[in-house]
Amino acid sequence: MENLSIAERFAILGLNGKESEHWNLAKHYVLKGIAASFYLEENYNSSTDTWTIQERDLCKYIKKSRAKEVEKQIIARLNSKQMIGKVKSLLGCDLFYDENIKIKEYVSDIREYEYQLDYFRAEFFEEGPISDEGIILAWLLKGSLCLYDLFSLREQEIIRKKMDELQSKSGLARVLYSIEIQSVIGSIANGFLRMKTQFAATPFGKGINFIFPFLDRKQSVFVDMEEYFTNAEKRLQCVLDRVTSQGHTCEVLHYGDVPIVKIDNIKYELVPEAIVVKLPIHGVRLRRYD
Amino acid sequence: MSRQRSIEKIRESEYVTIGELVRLTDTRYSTLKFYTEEGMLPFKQEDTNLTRRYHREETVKRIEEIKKMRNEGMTVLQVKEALANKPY
Repeated sequence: MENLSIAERFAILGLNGKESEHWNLAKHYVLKGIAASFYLEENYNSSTDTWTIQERDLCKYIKKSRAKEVEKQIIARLNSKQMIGKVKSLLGCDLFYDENIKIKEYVSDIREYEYQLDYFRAEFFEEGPISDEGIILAWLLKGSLCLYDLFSLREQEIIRKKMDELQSKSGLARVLYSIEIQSVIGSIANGFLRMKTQFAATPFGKGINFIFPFLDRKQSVFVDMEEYFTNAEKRLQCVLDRVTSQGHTCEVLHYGDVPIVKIDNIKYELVPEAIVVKLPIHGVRLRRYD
Repeated sequence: MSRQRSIEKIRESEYVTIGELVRLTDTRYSTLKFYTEEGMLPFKQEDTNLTRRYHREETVKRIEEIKKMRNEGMTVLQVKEALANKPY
């Protein structure tokens, strides 16, 4: 695997699945996280292997960095390493959206994305010390609210505990973990996104969002079938055909009545469902799986 | 879909899969996958589409060694460097 900087490692995890053409708050957080990682890169002394972090300077740096510029810079870096691409939003496969949907999303290189997640898990979920880069990555993922998207509730709990422990063991964690990226940006919308993301990560929130997808439409895509009462095999094939025809990469992880499919690095359960518009329409709803 | 082998059968086998190593060593699947990607756990693979097979005795020993090094205070990358100089 290629040797990536902390900003690149974080961007591969954070930008995957985020809208590429338009501004949204979730992406804004990730970009502010990337800006923070640029500051850390600039203030790293490789000969002494130390980071010089001034809280005020870091906050100022995050505030003054323009999101658009940060995005351009990091995408250019990742593009030069062929680590990121763009694909039409999965919403294009939804019954209620047009397949010519203009919304596009970033999709990170599948191998690198998995590698970065496994690396993070190998450091945080096994006994042993955590590297400085791991400490920083955890802070960036938490501050940009990506932690809720990437890890299961149980995993989030382990990470939170490890981060608490690190504050007493590592000087870097002590300085960094006292700074909150969200409070540096500060706005009313931040509070809503934070609430929404945390709520959607709970089993209750996930269920509510699945039935009434007002919180995050993207996490409850409905793919209609061409015929009534299809069997599991045909349903799966229909979803795979629809999704791949729009340029997404799919891998079936589990077969059965409710198969699990990985689409562009994100796992979904395909739950059979019928909705009633004027007539009943049979199909499956894609539910985020972790 | 193949049936899961019993733990007794796994303990008698010369070669095991990554899933079986998870059961033998009580280590997360993602961790073993990462160690494999990093070249810390050598494996045999007849074809790129076929399952990777690990030599049970040597791999279990190696995983225990990694755990020991981690408990002694080495980071993952330090362990990797230390293992690179050791014959398998």
